[in-house]
Amino acid sequence: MKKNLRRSTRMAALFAVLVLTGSGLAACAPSSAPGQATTTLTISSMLDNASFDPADLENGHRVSFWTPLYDTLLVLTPENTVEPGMAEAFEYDETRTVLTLTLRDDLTFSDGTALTAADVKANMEHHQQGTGQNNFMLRGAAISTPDDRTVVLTLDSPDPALLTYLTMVAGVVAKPDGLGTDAGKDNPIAAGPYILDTKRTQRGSVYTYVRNEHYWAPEDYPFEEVVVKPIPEETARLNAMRSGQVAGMAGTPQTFTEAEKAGFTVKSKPGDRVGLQIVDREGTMVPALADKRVRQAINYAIDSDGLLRSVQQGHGARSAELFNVESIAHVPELADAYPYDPERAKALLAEAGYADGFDITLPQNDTDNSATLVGQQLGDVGIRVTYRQEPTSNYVAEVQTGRYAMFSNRVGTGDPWWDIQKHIPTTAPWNVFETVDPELDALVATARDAVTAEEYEQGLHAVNAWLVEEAWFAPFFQADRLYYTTTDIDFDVHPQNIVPYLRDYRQAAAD
Amino acid sequence: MSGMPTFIARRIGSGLILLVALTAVAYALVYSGSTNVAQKILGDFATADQIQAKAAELGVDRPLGVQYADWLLHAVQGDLGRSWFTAEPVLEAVFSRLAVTASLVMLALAATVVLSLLLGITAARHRGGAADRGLQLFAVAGEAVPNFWLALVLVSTFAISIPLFPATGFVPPTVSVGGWLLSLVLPVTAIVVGSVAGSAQQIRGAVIDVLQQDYIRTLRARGLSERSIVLRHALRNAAPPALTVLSLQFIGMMSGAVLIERVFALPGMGNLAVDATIQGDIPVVMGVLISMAVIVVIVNLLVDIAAGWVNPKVSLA
Repeated sequence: MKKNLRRSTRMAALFAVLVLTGSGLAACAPSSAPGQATTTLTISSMLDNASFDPADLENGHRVSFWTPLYDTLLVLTPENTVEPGMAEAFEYDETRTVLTLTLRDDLTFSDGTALTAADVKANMEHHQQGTGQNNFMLRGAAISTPDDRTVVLTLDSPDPALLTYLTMVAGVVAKPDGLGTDAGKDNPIAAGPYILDTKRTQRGSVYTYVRNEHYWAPEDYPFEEVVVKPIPEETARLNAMRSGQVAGMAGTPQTFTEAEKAGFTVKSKPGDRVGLQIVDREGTMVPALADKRVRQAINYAIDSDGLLRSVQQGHGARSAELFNVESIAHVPELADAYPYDPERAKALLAEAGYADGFDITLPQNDTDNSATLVGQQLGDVGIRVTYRQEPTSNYVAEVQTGRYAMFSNRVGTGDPWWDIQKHIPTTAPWNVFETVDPELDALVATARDAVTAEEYEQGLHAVNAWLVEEAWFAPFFQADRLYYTTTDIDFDVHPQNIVPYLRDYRQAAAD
Repeated sequence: MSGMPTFIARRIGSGLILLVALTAVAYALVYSGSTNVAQKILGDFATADQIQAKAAELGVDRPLGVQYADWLLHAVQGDLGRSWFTAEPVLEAVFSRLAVTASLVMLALAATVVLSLLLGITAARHRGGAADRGLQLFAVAGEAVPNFWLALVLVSTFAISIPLFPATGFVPPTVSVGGWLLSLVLPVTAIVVGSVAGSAQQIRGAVIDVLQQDYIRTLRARGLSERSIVLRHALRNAAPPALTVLSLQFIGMMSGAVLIERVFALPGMGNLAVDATIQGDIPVVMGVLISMAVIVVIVNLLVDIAAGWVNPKVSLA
């Protein structure tokens, strides 16, 4: 009996030690108070990393993994302006087809070797030849290196988004001998503020970064270590935040209230355009869509404000535009171009010869929570919608094959020229039926060839107004991108990415 | 026991046929639900030529049967290919994630065995008593509560309100044994409640059946202690159905681990399978599937062998 008692006591003691250790571990993890030094930044990511090879890097959630390793040639500020990065100067010629980048003279890779213009060229060419999602960014650019610190990009025609691309994955540089190799994909030698601590990194679980002692501007990064944890489920990310395991996460309207209640720092920016893509504008599949009045009727038929409230809990901005509402292409007056007006929609349909409406088949996937309402509202004006279920994982690929004349979609917006490239040229992924309009092409060319910033802005406004008038699209709203941090960490919302770049995080100032 | 080698050979043979049939059906299903893979990998701005080249590189431009035969040929040589999206070797990905899921499931299974035996035998010995009624109540409640809901309650209570355990994540035992145990306490508890509820009932029923047999009465008449009767005789005879139930529990846990791994952000097979399925990463999906199928076949085989070993009267036909 005594022996049993002793054993029980020992077991109880062991349990107590474990519990206390657990408490200790849990206590170590939470962030410190605002104003107090935080040596480790631990953030979560919705996606796991895919590859560290520069040609395979992605924008979006995965920037959390590669921004510790890589610096960029240029930097995009929270105010959406481009500033020097590894390139201390950048300048276009008067035709805006030749961009000259001058590298800093103190750039080194994490192994201590110098980073030269030849290394930049090797990376850019690797990027162009790769099969990554962003290899379009430098497509067609001829790259030359007059000297060790100068890189010259020569284009066939101006690309107003090029500078922005160089603040993103097109502007990273890894040591060329690792490009395309397994080692380069797993642990490249780069020139960013941190290096990967492979002993404390496990794919799918945790990525740990420690300072790169050769980095040229360590003062821009206040954290001694950075830890990124892939946590796919939003509820799990929120639990990790609430328990102090991580200090940052991407949120959605579904967790917004809970995040605010928990006292987290919550910031947002409009980012994704949600709406209908009317792609069969010449009526090859659904003849009615060739008529501008029908496309306008679709815009009038949708209760955008109602959808914004019901599917996005109000986190966004009503918009009828292709472009981001914070970009220079935005024209505030266009927001009210198509107020919810079913009677006006019916009248336009009647004018176009479709008083009895018409039938259309739209795809639907599991993540589309607006389909029922959209179908009802189109039905109310006589447009009879039949939904066909498409697997969520294949949705984008399916709608881009031209099987549907119109479909609901959510597309990220940011740099206006990038948005144009996504939607307007016949090669654009979202110009599915390759619609051409000479008037629009002329407006786009005017914007592209603009010499001054004012001319460029005016050119974009003209493109924007034309697209809204011609109802090439039927946007509902621009959804906010939400991001939360614990109170000891402050951050700037990246103007064009769903999660902050590493340089956007800092310790919160004391009140 | 003379029929044991034949029995094992027969079971291995049927297991292999099952694996081939399962992977063929799965390949067809996964393939049909995942079109335009090359475009998905290359992104929106890929040109038609790039898409065509990528499709050829991946081999997805070939007929389905040829693709499956190619995959199977490599699979039997231990080459499950590479992830289409991360280029990580599938075998490497599966093994690294399997360690996490195995930790979770083996701990949950061990806890289930111990608790189920304890509760089942106690309830059987005190049939109709308070312990027995308590077990009935627990069984109903335990079966009724979804494990993901219980997981969320556990996190909210023991990781956030009372921060005793981590809310998410996995600590490999090579890094810290204490951390490893702590990271698994809540996930294992979330699984074990339901599995114990089912298993304890089965063990209770099996033990009651055996305790009513004539030979038990004879043993009692010979003066054997109740403890000896239960542990050495009743439990041995009740073992085969209990082992079958536990093997089913194990298989259930492997599949149930998917939800638990999501809730606790454990980098296991479940998370790997879900992410790969969402992306349409066929090599990884197939790698996970065949690994799970092999495990299930092996576990069933081991359970059959164990049942025969524990009780030689069990037919091996």
